[in-house]
Amino acid sequence: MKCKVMINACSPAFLSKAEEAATFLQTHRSIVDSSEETEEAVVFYADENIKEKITSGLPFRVIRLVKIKHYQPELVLDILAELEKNSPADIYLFPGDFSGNELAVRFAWRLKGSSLVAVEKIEANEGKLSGIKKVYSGNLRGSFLFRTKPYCFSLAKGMNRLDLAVPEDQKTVSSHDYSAKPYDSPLIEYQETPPFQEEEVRLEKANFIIAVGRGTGSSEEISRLKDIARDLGAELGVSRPVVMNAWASMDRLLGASGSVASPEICLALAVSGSPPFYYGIEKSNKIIAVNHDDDAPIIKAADLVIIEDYKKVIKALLEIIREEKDK
Amino acid sequence: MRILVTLKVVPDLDLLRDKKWTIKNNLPVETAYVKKAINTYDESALELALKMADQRKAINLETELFALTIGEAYADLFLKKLLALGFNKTYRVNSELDLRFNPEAVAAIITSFIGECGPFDLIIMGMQSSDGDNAKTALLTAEELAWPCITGVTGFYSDRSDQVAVENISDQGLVQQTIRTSCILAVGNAPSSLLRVPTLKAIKKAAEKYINILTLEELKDKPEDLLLQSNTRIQELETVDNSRESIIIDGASAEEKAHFLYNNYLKGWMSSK
Repeated sequence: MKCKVMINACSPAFLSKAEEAATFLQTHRSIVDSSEETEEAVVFYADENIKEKITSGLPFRVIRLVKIKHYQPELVLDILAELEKNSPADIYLFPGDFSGNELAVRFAWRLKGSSLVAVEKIEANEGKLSGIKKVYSGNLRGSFLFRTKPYCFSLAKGMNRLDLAVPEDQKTVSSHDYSAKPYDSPLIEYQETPPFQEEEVRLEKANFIIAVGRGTGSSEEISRLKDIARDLGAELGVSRPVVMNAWASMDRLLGASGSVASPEICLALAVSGSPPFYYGIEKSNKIIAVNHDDDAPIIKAADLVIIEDYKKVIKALLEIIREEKDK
Repeated sequence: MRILVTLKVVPDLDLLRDKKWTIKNNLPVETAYVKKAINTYDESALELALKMADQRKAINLETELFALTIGEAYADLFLKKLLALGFNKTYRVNSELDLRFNPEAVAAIITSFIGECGPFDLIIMGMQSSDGDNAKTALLTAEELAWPCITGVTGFYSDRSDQVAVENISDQGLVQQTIRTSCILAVGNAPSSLLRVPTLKAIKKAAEKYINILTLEELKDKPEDLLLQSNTRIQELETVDNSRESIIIDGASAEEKAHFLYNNYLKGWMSSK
């Protein structure tokens, strides 16, 4: 099946998203039978200054650059539909981010194809394609048969990434400029501010994470834990209820709707372990749970468990570290 | 300004923590005994709509709030609550169809409802539901209506009827944009958006109000066979196994356990930094 990868290079994280897509294709090579040489990445971007970063960093041999004014889904969809109407692929693969999810679904609708969001893997059987993804807030996994081509899907968050760099002299790059395309935009004003990007990247790249849940109880406690995490050389990640109560900012959100971390150690304090949150820490090498509730789901989903009030354990830990420093 | 908020009443999956999941042969999941709740993203959508109505009221602007759900009668309890909170009208399209993994059918029903009971200036939806996890309904409705759609919405405000100022989280960062109505806003992780609780007085008053119940047959311009709308078909469901070793660190006190944790796991890590 011929596959094209759609990358939003207006996103600062586009290279890591492209690597996830390339790795996904590499691990599904028996299904996506186009060779590495013909796999094409369609990349839309707005800033001329990152053009070189795209062409040098993207792990694909065929790159089609599409310059746009700025990311606006309806505009991008119009352009993609125009570009693809003459030579549609069988599969359109989108990264697991905001734009990937929205474009996969809307692009499929426009091309009368099928769509799925947050796919973990695909399987082929007698020429038919199925996508596997989590449902019921991560409690269950469902297998979905795509009914009509093209099959458009976005990847799940935090998919694996391999180093699949392609030498520049093996790349074929073509360019299209749609930055001046006339468009009846519904936008009246538009402003982007990327304040959380630095922290989000830190959470995803951290080697030591302290993950906390609603059981911490207050914004003062979250603030204290943030300081403790910093002193221990860890990043603090929080569950959705903590963010919903505005005890912590959105950039610290771990889970299905936040960041997916893959640290060496994840110290989970007062975390119940509900599947949407666990999604954000399941790639941790070692999960150490501290919880007074020995019935909480996190207990079975952790490598090590301390059944105890986390505040007592943290207090004792800080005391030990202080003593160690004084030695 | 006329605002439609859509909501789905779902089983509160937190209450199923680590319980055995029963998946029947034809794929329904046994959740009948679990308490129901408004889907969490829809709850945010409802609260943000109420907040905007409050802000507009403060400057003497009128806002009409409408709520729509599709499903069985157990949703009525939640629609009554919305009436108590100030929603002008609530609607339930009565349906016993299994639409968990059929966002195409849901979008077709919503589109048809808008044709019947609209027009609306704004449609506010949660970005995905906790059972189907499709994350498609708002996007498909936008395509059906040929309206713009903003996802990851965390807040919005409008002091006029032909445009709305929206804050949303995107791949590019935090975006502030003003967009022409009509449009669809798909609400994501919006801080401080837990749905407010109505007063006793408002609950009593709402008891006298009625919920508008529509049947699928009453809705025009929708596809003949809704169940065939889905462009993907669920084939199999299985439970996700997250279990790990779960070794319990024992000790006489929290201090003793903390010492064990530090000496065996954290010390090496911290000295290697």
